[in-house]
Amino acid sequence: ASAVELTVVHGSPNKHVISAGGVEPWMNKLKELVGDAVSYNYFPAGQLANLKGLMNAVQTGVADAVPVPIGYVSDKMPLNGVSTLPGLGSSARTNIDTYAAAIQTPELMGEFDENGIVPIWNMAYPPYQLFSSKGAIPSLAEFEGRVIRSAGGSMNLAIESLGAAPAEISASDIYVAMERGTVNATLSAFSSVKGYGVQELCDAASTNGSFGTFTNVFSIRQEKWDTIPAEIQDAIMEAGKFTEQHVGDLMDSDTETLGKEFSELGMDLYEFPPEELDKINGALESVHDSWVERLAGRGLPAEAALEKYRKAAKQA
Amino acid sequence: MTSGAFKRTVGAADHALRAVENVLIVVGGAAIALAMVFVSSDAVMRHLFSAPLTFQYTLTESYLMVMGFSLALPWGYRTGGRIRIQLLLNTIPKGPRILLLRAGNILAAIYLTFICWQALGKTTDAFVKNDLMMGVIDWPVGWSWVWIPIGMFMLVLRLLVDAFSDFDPDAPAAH
Amino acid sequence: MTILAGTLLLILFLLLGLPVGFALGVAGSISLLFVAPQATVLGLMTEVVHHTFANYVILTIPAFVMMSEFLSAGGIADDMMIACNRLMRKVKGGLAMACVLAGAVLAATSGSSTASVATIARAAYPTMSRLGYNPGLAIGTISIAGTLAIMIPPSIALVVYGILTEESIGKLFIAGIGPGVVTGLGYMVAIRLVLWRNPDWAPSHDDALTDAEGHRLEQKGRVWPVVLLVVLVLGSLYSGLATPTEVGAIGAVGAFLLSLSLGRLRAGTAATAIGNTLRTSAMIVTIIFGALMFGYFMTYTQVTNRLLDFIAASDISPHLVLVLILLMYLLLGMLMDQFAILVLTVPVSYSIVTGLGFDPIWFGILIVKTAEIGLVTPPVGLNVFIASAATQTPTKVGFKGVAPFVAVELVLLALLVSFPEISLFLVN
Ligand code: NA
Ligand code: NA
Repeated sequence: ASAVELTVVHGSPNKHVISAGGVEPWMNKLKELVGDAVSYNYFPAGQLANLKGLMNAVQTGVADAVPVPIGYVSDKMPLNGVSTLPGLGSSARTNIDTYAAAIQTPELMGEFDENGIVPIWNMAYPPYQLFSSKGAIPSLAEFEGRVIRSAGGSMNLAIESLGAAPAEISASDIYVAMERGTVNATLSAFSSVKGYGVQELCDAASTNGSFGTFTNVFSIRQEKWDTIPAEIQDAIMEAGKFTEQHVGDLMDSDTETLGKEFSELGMDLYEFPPEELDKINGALESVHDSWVERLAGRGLPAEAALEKYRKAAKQA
Repeated sequence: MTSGAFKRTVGAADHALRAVENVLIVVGGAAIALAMVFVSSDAVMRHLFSAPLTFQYTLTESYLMVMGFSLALPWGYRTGGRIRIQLLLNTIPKGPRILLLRAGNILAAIYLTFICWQALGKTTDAFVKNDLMMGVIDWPVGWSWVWIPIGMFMLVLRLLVDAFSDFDPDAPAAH
Repeated sequence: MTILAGTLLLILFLLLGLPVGFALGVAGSISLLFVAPQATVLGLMTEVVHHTFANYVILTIPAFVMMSEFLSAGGIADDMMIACNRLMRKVKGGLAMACVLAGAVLAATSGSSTASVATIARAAYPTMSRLGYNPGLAIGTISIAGTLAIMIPPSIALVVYGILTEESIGKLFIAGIGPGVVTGLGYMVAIRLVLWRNPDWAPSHDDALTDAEGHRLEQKGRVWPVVLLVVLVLGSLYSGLATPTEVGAIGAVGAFLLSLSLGRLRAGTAATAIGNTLRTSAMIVTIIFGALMFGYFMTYTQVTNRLLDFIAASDISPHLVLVLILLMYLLLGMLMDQFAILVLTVPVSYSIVTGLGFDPIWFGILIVKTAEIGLVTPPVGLNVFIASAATQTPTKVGFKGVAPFVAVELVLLALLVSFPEISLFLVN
């Protein structure tokens, strides 16, 4: 038997970047580093838990290691939600590097400790862009009165700050909703838009927006972590560093190749002109304010968390 | 306890359970009916006025649905909302068949007790830590979960009371 | 070996008369204890119910059930069935065929076969039974008509397949239309065949409009309210007013308002309608979270991956591989929840099948066809359970009644395999 047996669980389809670009490369890298000292029980694709259930799975011992989707655990790790806010990064690599630095601050690390999990590596998507099915939405004024699909949480705040209305629609309904015009736009990263199949319905996408992002922190249960020999712990972390670079580069180059692919499909890829981008980012600033205000109202050090995150973003 | 006293106790328990079950189903029914109204209004507001009810999705999914389904469990079970395979049962004489059904009730009650207990743990944890989900408002997680232990607990009691009551195994809905 | 023991345990509990949802849950939990640590089993139990209940997509079940309950409570469903029977009285078994038609219409508004079968059962069974249809034929027709919902777009099963494989959901939907129509026609042929063998299983047109005591059944109102409701539901979906999940709620509210405005609804009947909705829904969700527990057990045994690895490793012709994979789906379909099967197997089977050069869209349709069959085959046939429960009929009657349809389904599956054009002619 192996020295360390890890049960790895995630909730995304096998082809999804979380799985194919993050979890599996990490598993392979660790195997490469320590060989047979580690073995896996691997339950991908929501076989044992979906995105919402991953935190419970790792806390109850169903899993030893899961990629915790930060947007779905605002009840357990509200301050880490800072990593999903708009306007704080320009690529997957910068987003990941920022979060990797910020996660070491007591505000963010404290939440991992409280929940009994150890963060190993993170994957932050490139910033969300605006995918629309009825032409480009090139200026702030044109957001007014639009209905944009939202995944809930702080994405609602971002959409509202732009003067549009967020409509929460289940992932399995997005395709039909866009096809029938229930909503005409959605916020998504290039690397994950294919997961909904809506790229074939959209005729325009922004490329230089920063409408927030989706972050996952691959974490191991503390109790399990404590049983792992130090040299394997080191290898786990080393594989984590490798994965952060690997998945960041992968998503950034994906964004480029997908951009080409979508262009060829006839999609209009456009940049917000500088003055409009300023206006849009200015409007999105208010999301930071209300995020801080709401968490501070509950006695949480949200302002410090945001401050330190911003600093990390500047250095990334 | 004499068998007569035992029967009376079970009968009284059944009576009390019914009263609680009837209250729960009214609350659960209101929750589901309200969900239908909210979902429809949201769609209409979104379509006609580009003004969706942004609270609707979470309210429906995390609260009204959990409430409606959970609170309907014991009443639904009592009034015939269950399906069993009669294939083999029908070939067994009435005496042993009743015993089998009683044993089945107890087995199911044990399974649901575990589920109830686990959900209760999650619920109290959410209340104690005051877990809040960030959305248009701060949604209290405990109030989303609390319905499950309530519904499961009442369903377990119903299964146990039925296991010790007199019943006619040939009636599809015994109550 | 474990998988066999777990399956036998499930069959045992089912045969010993445990309600289906509990049998799945108890057998799943006990079997899990042999393949997973105790903490894991408890951890899975913590989340399984909330995960099932707090799921927006599940709303389609109470929504469509409630729609049909209000239609029944107002007597509107009765009127529609009587009118359909009058319309199709020249045809033997007209009402059963009307059920298939109703199933197809519902299928175009609903992606969930569970919701669809519960709807048809509540709306059609009382009338069918009063008109003298054989219960087996009635339940069989209702159970199978409900499966159309996952073939005719929109279909949750095709959406899930599309997401798992990153194939175009739009193309999958279009590919489902041809097979959906062929399937509906196939069901009608099955009804004709059954009635040809058993002429007394359906009323002939002379006594079609009288009840058991010989009283004439009269329509109490016109048929237009149902037409209006169908237009409302389909219109809401295709105009973009509502998503596939939401459209059922619009139907429920619409049916309520319609019955109310026609003066056909009293406070008591409205309360009964809501109560019936909750009873049916509570039973269905209990089966779903039970099936999830059993599905977790199947996951731990890794049975699906092993089967697929075995097929992939054997040195046989591509067509035989495809047939074996479809056979595996039929076998799994007897035992497991259809969505659990999709999630567990599609990533692997898709790569095998497309690796052999088969069309991925076509393969999606074939899988959905096996899922349709799995919904009505014993021992775990969700649609038969639901139709039986909603009509208070023994499951044995339902499984017997659905058997001829399963035979036709197998022929249809063979047709879809032999003639990919049925699925692909609209796509290309
Ligand atoms: Na459908
Ligand atoms: Na089956």
